[in-house]
Amino acid sequence: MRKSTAIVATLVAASSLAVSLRLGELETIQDISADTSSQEPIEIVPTPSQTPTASAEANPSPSPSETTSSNPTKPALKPITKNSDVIDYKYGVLQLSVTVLGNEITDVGVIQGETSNGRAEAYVILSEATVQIQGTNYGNVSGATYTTEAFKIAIENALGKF
Amino acid sequence: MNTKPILLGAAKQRRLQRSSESIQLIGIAAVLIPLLALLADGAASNLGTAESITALVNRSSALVGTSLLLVHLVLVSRVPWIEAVFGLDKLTGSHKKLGKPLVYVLGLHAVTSIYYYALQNNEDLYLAAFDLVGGYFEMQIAALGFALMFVVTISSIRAARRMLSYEVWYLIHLLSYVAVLLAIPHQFAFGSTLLAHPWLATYFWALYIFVLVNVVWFRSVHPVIRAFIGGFKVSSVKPAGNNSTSISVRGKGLAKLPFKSGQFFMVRVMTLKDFWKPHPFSASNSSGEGYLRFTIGNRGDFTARMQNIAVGTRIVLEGPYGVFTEAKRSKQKVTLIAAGIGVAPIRSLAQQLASKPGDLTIIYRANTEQDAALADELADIAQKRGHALRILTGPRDKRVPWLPEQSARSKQKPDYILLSELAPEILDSDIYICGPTQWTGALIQTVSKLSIPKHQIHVEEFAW
Repeated sequence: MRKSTAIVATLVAASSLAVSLRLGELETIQDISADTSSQEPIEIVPTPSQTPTASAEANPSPSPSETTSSNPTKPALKPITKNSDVIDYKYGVLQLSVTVLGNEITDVGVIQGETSNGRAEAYVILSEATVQIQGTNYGNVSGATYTTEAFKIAIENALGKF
Repeated sequence: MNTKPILLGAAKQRRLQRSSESIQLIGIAAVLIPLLALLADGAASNLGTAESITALVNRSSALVGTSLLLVHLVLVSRVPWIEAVFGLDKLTGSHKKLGKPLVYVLGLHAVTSIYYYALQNNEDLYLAAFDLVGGYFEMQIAALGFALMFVVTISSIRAARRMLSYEVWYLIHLLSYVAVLLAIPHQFAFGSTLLAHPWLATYFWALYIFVLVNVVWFRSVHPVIRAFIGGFKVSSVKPAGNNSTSISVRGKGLAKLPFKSGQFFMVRVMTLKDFWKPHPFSASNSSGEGYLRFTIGNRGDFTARMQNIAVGTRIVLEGPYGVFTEAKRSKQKVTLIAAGIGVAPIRSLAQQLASKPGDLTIIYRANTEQDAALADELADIAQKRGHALRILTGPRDKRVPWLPEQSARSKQKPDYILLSELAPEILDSDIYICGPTQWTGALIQTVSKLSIPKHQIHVEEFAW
């Protein structure tokens, strides 16, 4: 191979590696935001109560302090928490609690689950994602594919009990 | 006769370089593309824990190993559009060189898989290996495939090759196809990069199918079809110089063979003793003569039996192979240098290369006048076409081992001066060299002192 060709090939290879590395960094951030097909930023995810008119019509109510939701919602509703079954998967067991206010998931908690090797961090990311997306339609947490799968199954399982 | 305009000079050289570089770049891209997908997947974005680093090493060695394995197979698949650019001997050489690194990369993948599994499950390595391999069918066969691949590699290292007969080595080597097939399922069942990117899985399926089709077609089906359609038979056997024989082969399929002067065939002699193993032989005549002729020196073993082969014996030909041809020429002047039975393709080129009188210089090294196979034919061609022909005979010189004593001793000149005296225009010519390995090595050493660009030097080794 000529020197010039080798140099060009090396440059192209290096820059494409750099670009995909950057893409990968963006991916890990976006993973938790949404399913890639929707391409919606987190803020636009429609939750009816977030609209100004909705909050204006709604009577302010003492919202449960422990939920992450800051949305003022219909006063008659109380948060309901249900536990999933114990999900058995590759790296152990996982049981989650899901808190729902009206039609909205407001909190996800871990009742039992392996916490080693970054799984604890993964639960936090996955819980936030579940609340933001209002479901399980999000990508994997990198390096925690099996845990993500188990997490989604547990959420679906718990939601099925409402 | 040749209707295509003969392109020579810098333009031809650029064209040759472009084609060889394009194919090399395809090989590099094949390794790079899956890595890009891996990085875009975020595998290298949150490093810091032992687990994430192990995962990255594990996944990248898997992807690089798979790509290299496919390149490794393509190198010996004898795909014509690659073979026509690099030549079968060079491809086989690259295949040999790639073997060990490939097993290292795949070994790294196997080890990190177990380590990663151990980290994730807080197990020790033995238990992890047991769980990981024992727990999934895909992993069981993949592990078996890796073990087979390891056996194949061991059997191919030089020390082992010397102990094993060709037959045993060949049978062991066939296991590598089994090994590759056994490893496929676990890649699609567990490969996180493949699972995350369906297009990458499709890409790998396409690659596998491409390689498989090429290997099966060009290594087995095509030669078999050729054998039945071709109907090649030995048509005459004539002694050619001391201790060598010219065997002519005719058949219906001859006109369809894309044979160019200087190329060789894998020749399978269909007798009970020899049908199972093909041998490489260069044709010693030129295309368009209505038959193919192989001039075979008696070196004991198989070549001894060839001296008395019966007329009418069925011959199966695989090929033609090799780039020891006009196709690689970029200069008007040509120097042909042969030793011993390496004269066969040189004789073929001497007759066929486009030339004006004075363009070609032929140097032919033989032990004795009687031993110089095809010498009379060469002299005949040289006289008719105006080539310079120098036949050098006598015992080997100690100082310049590619020359006979009497050519080297009288004058205490450097070897490269002796060479340029034999071939005055060697600096501005394409050089075609064919002879025994040791002789070729010595000659190449001399040629390299003349700083002739690599692309002007063409070597065909007949002993490989």
